[in-house]
Amino acid sequence: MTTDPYLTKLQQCIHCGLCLEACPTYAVFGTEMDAPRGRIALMRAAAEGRIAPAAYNGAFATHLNRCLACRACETACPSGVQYGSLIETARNVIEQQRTPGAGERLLRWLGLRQLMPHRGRLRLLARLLKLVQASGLQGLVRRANALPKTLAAMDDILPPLQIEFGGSAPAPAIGPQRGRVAFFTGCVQDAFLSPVNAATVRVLQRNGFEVHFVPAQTCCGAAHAHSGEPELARELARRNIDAFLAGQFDAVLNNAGGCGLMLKEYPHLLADDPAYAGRARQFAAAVQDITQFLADNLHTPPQKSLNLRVTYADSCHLRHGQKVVQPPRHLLRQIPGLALVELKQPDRCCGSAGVYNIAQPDTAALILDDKMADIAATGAQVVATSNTGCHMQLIAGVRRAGLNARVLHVVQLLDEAYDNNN
Amino acid sequence: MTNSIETLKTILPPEQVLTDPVQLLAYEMDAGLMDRAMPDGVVFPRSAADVVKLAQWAGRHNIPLVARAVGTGLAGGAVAHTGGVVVSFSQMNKVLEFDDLSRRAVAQPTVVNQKLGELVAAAGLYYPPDPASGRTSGIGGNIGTNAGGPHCFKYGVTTNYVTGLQVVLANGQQVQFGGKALDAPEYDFTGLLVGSEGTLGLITAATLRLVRQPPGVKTMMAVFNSVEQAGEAVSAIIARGLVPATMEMMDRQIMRIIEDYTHAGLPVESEAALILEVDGHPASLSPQIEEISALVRQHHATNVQVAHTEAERAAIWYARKSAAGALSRLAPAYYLVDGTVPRSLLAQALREINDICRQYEVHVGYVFHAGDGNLHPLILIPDPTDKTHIEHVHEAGRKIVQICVDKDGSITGEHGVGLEKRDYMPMMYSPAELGAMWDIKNLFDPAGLMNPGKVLPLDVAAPELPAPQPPADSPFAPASAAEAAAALRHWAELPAPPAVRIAGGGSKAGWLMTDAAALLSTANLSGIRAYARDDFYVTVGAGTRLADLQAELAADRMWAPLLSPWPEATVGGIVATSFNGPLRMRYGGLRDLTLTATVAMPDGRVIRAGRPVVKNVAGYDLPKLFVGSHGTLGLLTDITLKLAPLPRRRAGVIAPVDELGAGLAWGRELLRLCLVSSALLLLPGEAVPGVDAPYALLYSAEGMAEDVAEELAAVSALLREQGTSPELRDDLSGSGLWAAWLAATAAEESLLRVGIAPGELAALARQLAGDGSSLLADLPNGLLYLRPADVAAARRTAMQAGGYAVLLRAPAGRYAPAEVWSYAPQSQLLMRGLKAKWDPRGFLNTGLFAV
Repeated sequence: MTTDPYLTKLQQCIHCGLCLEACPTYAVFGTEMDAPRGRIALMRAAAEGRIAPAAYNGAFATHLNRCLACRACETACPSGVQYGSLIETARNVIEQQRTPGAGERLLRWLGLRQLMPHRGRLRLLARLLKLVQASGLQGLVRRANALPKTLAAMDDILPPLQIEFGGSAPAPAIGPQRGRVAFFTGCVQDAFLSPVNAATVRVLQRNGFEVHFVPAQTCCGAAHAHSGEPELARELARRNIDAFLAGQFDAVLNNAGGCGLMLKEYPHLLADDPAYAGRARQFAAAVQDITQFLADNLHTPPQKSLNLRVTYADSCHLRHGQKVVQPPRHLLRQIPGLALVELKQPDRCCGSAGVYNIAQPDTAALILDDKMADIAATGAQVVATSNTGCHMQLIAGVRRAGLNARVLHVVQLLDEAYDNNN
Repeated sequence: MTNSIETLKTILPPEQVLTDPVQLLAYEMDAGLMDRAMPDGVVFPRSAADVVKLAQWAGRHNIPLVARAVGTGLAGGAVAHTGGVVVSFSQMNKVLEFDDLSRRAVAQPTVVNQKLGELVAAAGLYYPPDPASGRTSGIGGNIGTNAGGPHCFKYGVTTNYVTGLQVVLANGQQVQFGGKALDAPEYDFTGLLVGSEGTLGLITAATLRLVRQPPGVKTMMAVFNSVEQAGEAVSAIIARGLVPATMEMMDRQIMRIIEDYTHAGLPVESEAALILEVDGHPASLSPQIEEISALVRQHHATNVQVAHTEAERAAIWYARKSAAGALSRLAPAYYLVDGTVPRSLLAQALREINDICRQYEVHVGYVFHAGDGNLHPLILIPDPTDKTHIEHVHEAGRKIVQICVDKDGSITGEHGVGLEKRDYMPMMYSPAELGAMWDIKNLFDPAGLMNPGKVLPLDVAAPELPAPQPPADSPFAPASAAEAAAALRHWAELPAPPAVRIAGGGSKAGWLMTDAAALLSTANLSGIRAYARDDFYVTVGAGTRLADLQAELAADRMWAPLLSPWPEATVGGIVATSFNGPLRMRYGGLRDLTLTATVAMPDGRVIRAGRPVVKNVAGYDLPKLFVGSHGTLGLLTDITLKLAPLPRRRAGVIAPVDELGAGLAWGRELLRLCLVSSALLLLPGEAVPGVDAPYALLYSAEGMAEDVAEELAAVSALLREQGTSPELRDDLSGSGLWAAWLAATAAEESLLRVGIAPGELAALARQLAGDGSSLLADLPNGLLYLRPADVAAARRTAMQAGGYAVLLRAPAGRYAPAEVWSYAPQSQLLMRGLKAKWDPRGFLNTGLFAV
């Protein structure tokens, strides 16, 4: 099916099965094809020519596409199998064998090419959708249940919009300046969850950092890489590398676990590009998640007491991909009065998984139901998160489950505890 | 076959059946890397009723069924190498019942081992078998392979914790073997099916025994300059009568491999390291650790490190459990050997294995369970396509297994035979032994559809039979198994065989065996045949009196943790009747203590069932069938028993009880405390010297002095809270009082034993005591002993409550043998089938058991 290094990586799996209990889709389906070990068996069979390329589009594609790529299996794996990279390669091969329909092509063209790389257009769309929400039209459409499945899935995860767009001028440090950092804003996060970005900037200022926005930055390219558009992903990666390496910063910070992981994986993405391989490594070394950075640089601890019961739902890409587990918890514990209640399975995917909840809405809903039951059991008033996709998915989940809880990024809680809004 | 498979979708909902070849690729393998094969389909039953339909369908279409829980087996046991349907139990993953008072859980096959552990831990209980795969493996698979793990030295293996199984047989019949009451009077098919790797039936639910979670645990690592020194340190620890919960050893090579991966700080400059863990009441942990530290230092440990925090303890275990994963980074494949030798021979076995590996130029590293002699050489396979090298690996593997067999060990300790070791079976077992296993297979699965081709080698030579020899005397007392077998064959070939009855100490001769036409006595099968103190076992002739054996062992500060009220009782008689006393909850029952049995079978075959090692899953667990089958399947001639060091302290707390109900209620509360308890009895006050009350509650404990003191203090405190006046006494043991009360049964009285689930004992005891009859209750084991005036009425009451009732003693001639049992287990047809296979003439002890 593809190159030898790929086969070698596949062979690293010793089929021990320790990944099964970590896998959210195995929990739903209970079948090997929907577990990492079984998917690797299928990938291996394809690589060895035991599945004909013409047949990729059948059960092979079904089960590989059902994977959330949450990479919880990588944490569970004793053999260090690089599952995330394997599934991405295999899906790209499947994509190449497939001819998508006109509707899908249109949506992909619109989303991946015309919107995500363009901050201005996304912000405009957000303003338009806010009007739609304000007019009550969204409620009408939802009740009428008239949208095609994919659009309905997109609508489902659209949060109630608040507009708090940032400008492009650097935000100055408050108090003595301790450093200057660049802020990677993300595309969807910037447009649809703009209060998270605003809070991020304020918290950094509070801790003595001058925050730069680097106007030439663009979407990280994760959605492109994960939906069979690796070339487009590389193009975006080069633009980001050029943009951020043009300045001198102590760190390149982001507040979305999925985007952050993608940025850190640029060296892997551009490994075969001699002009960029080295620069990609240099860039990736500077990238840090906001929670990790703040955990090390919380020079001004928050003072205001938030008497809240809070649970934290790990972002898979932050936890299993970037291995950032304790920092967000550490930050939450710094907030006076806040009680952190752990979920039974904090490391279990919520079903968002990039664009999974749009591509596989039925499975995503089953996984989300489990997550919501776990959250409900904690009695939390706030669900804290650290990634754009999870954030939107959890808002939808809270609404569906009828829970009385707010969903907030960890930095938003910190921001509240600095009493910035008053 | 494809068309037949499609018909399965008319029997069960189509979404429960997979036939797409791409999907089937995910079911080619389990976790054994050496075997793979495509099944014709995969089916996902959701209930026992689904499994019944499935088995009936498979029978009609002659389609093999390969059971699979989670597929973490390492011997290819779940590979459908002859085609057929893989039965994935992944939808049957519920804990059906959990009763913390009875210390029992009923689990479906894919309840994950670790999840069960977490569930019961929340109630202060513990399910000890913890294979390395426990994070993901299912209870059904654990049962299929009789899974072990690092805690077996102290706690035993899976079979010791399975008391009942719900099984769907090849003919589609659903039966319950064993169950909630311990040691029900039936052949121990539960014990037989544990470790049978899906070849005898499909397990749909298992009744599991739990123990109290030790309140404290402490872990340490000791480092040595050679594997031999580490082995000697282990021997020294055992010799002192210490019983650590784990003793794991790693050699230098494996430590280096693990360290490269985990950076856990392993002592890679040393030749060997031992991971030792002790558990118990908090007060006993430090004394145990200190004593062990001093001992290992005396035995040349160069460094001893005690984990002081949970994080330090986790780091040690993380390193140990990462062995296989770390290895897979070095080579794309490996071959994991799983042999067992008697523990004292470990160092020697290791030297020999190293020689073999050098000879075949294969790279090997070791992790092993030093406490139980189970070793796991891991042979690296750098290039799986190199046929010559693979052949070397297999050759080396075979030689390693031979080394284990030569030391009277096993070809597989805990992974199972599966496909991988099937052809090694004749190295370990004689044709007679393999033939006996095939008899069982043919009885349970005559069409050969249950995981066919696994475990048992396909071609087995005919067993050697002795020439028939008429017995010289009557009663006939053979001096060897061969002599017994010759006489049995003689009887079997007579036109009308006499009713032959086996006589041990003669405790039943007076009242039960009045119909004997010929007596076969064990009087000349007496004495210690082999004693391995280091390996905790003794082999004795079946006619050896228990009292004589205990006297010999006590001189060496050892004992066999079993008892009998009757001084004439022989080891053979106790084992054949599975006569368990109060010690059962602490040390396991006779089914757990009997490691091997040499048996002269009624058709003249002589087999040695089992091997003198705790971990052995090679083939069917034959000893289980002979424990408690009352001589109906053969004459036991030699028996190997598991031993224990004499406890350092024994003591008891006694409390007077004015009213039965109150005593039972207090007893229920005390059940939660049992950790090192050796008895918890409610007995008539007159049976206890110094007690002047209608009843007395006795709680005795034994083991480390600190454990005994702490537990009995808690017992006293609890009893004082109830308003009674407990007294700590060093001179009272539950075993002694139990034995004395049973032995005091007068010649004209009948002594009845009633078994029931421990949680339901109190209610039944109140009912049975209603007629004023004297009664002794063994609370944790769910046993009641009474001398009722009306045996039939007492039995009715017991059976209506879901229990069983067995006569232990009765006046001569009052009851016919059938009335001793009056019990019809669900497995009765199978019991009769097995009896007919092994004693087709039906002359040996027939009628003396519920067959």
